[in-house]
Amino acid sequence: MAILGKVFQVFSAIFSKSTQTPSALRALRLVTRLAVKDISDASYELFKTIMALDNLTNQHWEAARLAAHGAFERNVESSPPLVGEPKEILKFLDHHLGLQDTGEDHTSSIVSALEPFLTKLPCGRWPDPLIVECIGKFNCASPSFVSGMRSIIHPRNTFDLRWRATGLIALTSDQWFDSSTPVMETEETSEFCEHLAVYIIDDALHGDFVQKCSVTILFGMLRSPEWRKHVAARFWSVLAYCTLVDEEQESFKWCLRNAIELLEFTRGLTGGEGLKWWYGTLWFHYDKLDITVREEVEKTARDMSLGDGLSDLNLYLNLLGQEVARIRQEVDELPNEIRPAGFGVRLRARLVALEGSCHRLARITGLRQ
Amino acid sequence: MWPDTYRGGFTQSGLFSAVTSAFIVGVQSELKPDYEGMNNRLLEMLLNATTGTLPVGPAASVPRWSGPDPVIVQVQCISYATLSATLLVSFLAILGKQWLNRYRQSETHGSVVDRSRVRERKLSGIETWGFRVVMEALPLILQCALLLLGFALSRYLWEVNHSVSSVVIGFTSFGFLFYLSIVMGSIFVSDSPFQTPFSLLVRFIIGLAISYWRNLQQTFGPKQRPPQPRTLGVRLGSPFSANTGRGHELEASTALACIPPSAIQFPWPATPLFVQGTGAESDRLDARCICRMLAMSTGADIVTLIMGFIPEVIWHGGIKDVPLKHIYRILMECFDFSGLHPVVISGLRDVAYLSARAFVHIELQRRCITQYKDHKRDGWKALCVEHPLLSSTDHGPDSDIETVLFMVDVTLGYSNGVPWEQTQMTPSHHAWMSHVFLYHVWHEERVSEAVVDFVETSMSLRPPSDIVITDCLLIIGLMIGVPFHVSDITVRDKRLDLVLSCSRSLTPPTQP
Repeated sequence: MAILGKVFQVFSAIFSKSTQTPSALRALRLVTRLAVKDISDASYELFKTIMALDNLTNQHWEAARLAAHGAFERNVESSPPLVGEPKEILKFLDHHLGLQDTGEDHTSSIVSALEPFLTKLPCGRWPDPLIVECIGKFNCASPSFVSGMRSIIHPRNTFDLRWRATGLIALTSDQWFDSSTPVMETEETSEFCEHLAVYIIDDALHGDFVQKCSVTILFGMLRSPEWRKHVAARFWSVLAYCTLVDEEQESFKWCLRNAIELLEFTRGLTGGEGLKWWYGTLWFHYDKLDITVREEVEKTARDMSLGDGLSDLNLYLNLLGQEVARIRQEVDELPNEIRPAGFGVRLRARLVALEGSCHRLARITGLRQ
Repeated sequence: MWPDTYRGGFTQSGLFSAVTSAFIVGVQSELKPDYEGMNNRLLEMLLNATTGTLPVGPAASVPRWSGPDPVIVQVQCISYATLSATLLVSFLAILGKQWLNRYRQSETHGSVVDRSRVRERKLSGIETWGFRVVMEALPLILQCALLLLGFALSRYLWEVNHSVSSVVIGFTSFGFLFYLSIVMGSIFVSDSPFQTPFSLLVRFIIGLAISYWRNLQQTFGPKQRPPQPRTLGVRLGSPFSANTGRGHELEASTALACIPPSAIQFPWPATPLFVQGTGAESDRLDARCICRMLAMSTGADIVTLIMGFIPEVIWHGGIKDVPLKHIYRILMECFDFSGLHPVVISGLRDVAYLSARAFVHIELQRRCITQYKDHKRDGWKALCVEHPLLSSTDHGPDSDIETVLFMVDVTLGYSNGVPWEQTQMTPSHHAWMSHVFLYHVWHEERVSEAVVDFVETSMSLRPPSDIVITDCLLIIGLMIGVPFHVSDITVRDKRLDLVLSCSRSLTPPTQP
């Protein structure tokens, strides 16, 4: 067995005991500074070994933090190990998110532990279904977990930390926003939504990943009557990226089924940002709407074209046109790319649906495409 | 020295041969019948018979030759033996000239190191096959021949004339007694300037006899307590020690000092991860070569070359002569101590750097893979009592010399600390540093902060250096008590592909 194997074998033996020596922690700290693939893999195995133990001591937690750092520190030379079911990481995160309120600063450990949730599969898919399934089994709506996430999203934290937290919030949105009991107090919810909007709209919305996460989070919030009240006015603009959302997402489907309710809700909001972006979203997904919703959408378009909503309609038409052009280009490039089975069929169907929406909107409003 | 020996032997043997031949020729006639004397005797008998004169004395008989005089035969035998001995010396001198010509033949192929190795092998052959003894035997044979010649001359002249013979016997006896006295004196007083091959031979025989007598005493005398086991590389406080007794511990007898590392048996089933390319015998040859060249050469170029080569050798316990003091002296000569801090003398930077490396390498390696006898260690440490802190001087951007001098100080028990993250070491020097730190950790019971800082800095390098990281991983392994084999420590060139062979083959995921 090679050196690294021997070293980590002894680390496992040491950290499986109830007490350890400081030299072992010091040695682990040194090892995990090395940025090579094998260190990542071996560190993750050690991390799982430690986290599988009961009654973890402070030294165990310190060792777990170091192992997580070695496994998931993002650098050029190595890539993080394949995680599979991240139940140990969720346990680790839950512990450290709970410590955020106690004043202990473990943000670097949290950054490391959030890394696997953001990793794409080799086929390019995100999120990993195994991770989604494991998160579904874990109580991500526990007070400590929620409190820690709320703390992380605070503007005082680094961009990198908040960037990663956005991904985890998107993954846990079903638990957070569909909870029968509120996970936060009203003021906390309002503050959280504001911090999220500050971060996403002001800093991070230029990336595909954050766009997808933020629109997923927004659909989740819209599903919950409690949360949708606290959505910040400028946060509605993330709906411009509604085409990035996973169409199988439960909250997305719920929102389309209850589009009228949300339409009424947005009409009641001040500023009109909510109505503007939600109404546009409905045109993007016109083919998935019920007949009654479609009639309401068309009626609203007619009313807007006669009133002062012509500029908004022009915006929708432009966005639809851009999306049609993008998808058409993607369809043209299909023969040159390797895609999962059925991807091309779905893409062409989406193109036809969007072209239909575009024609319909142009016909109703009399605007040129 | 030997060319003088064979040249002198050749000349002296020629002179002796001439003298002996002259003597033999002079006496040779006495081995034949004395026809002239017999004729005279017969003529005398005829004359008496003719004249009727009665012969005076007993009745004369017809003279007949009954063989040469036994004394003459004895003298001639000794004379011929003398002549043969001198001719043998001539023959050996001619052969010796041939042997030395071959020895002095210059090698023109290979590097300087290779050529030095060839010369060292030749020299080893000369020592192994007793060339010195053969060369020393030439004057000894001549001395024996001179003694025989003196004896033969005395014996012959005694028969001729006692008075004349007494003179020769007197001088011969005086010469012999003088020779005997200087031999006896030089046997018991090694500082005597009158050393002769005979006295060296007698002293050698006495030494053998004493050692044989002591062996006999040990065999048949009262039994002594066997040497206590000693430990090598004991790591106290190791977490691994709870499972394996003393963890990273090697028990070995005092005889271990003479055993090459590959032959050391460990109490744990550790197999070497890295195998040294050259064997213990090769290192022994190189070490002898280095010692000899250091003793004979003073030129800066040669010394630089030797110092640069020293870290290539594994100075295992089978190597008896270690030029540690010599190297330390050369290192100190590279510094100007007149100021507040020692300063490297201009133009001697390379010698200082390489000799410091050589010193640290040998000292740390010997600590790890052999067992120092305390008195030997104390002996050279006594020289370093007044050791000035070499790393106290600011060497500017030359991190290599700064860090190597730091290692010299650490090796001698002084530590000043180095800000590793600010150093800009060359890759080869960095690799060497990690190697010697590995020795340092292997031997020390407690890992110092300097080592930890060095490893931390090295592990953070982007991109990481294969050799450095392998050594750092071994250091970390030693910190936690991983049982490594001593051969893993001695091998310098450790490659990462071996280090990382434990990993699983995973498809690397991509980042969003």
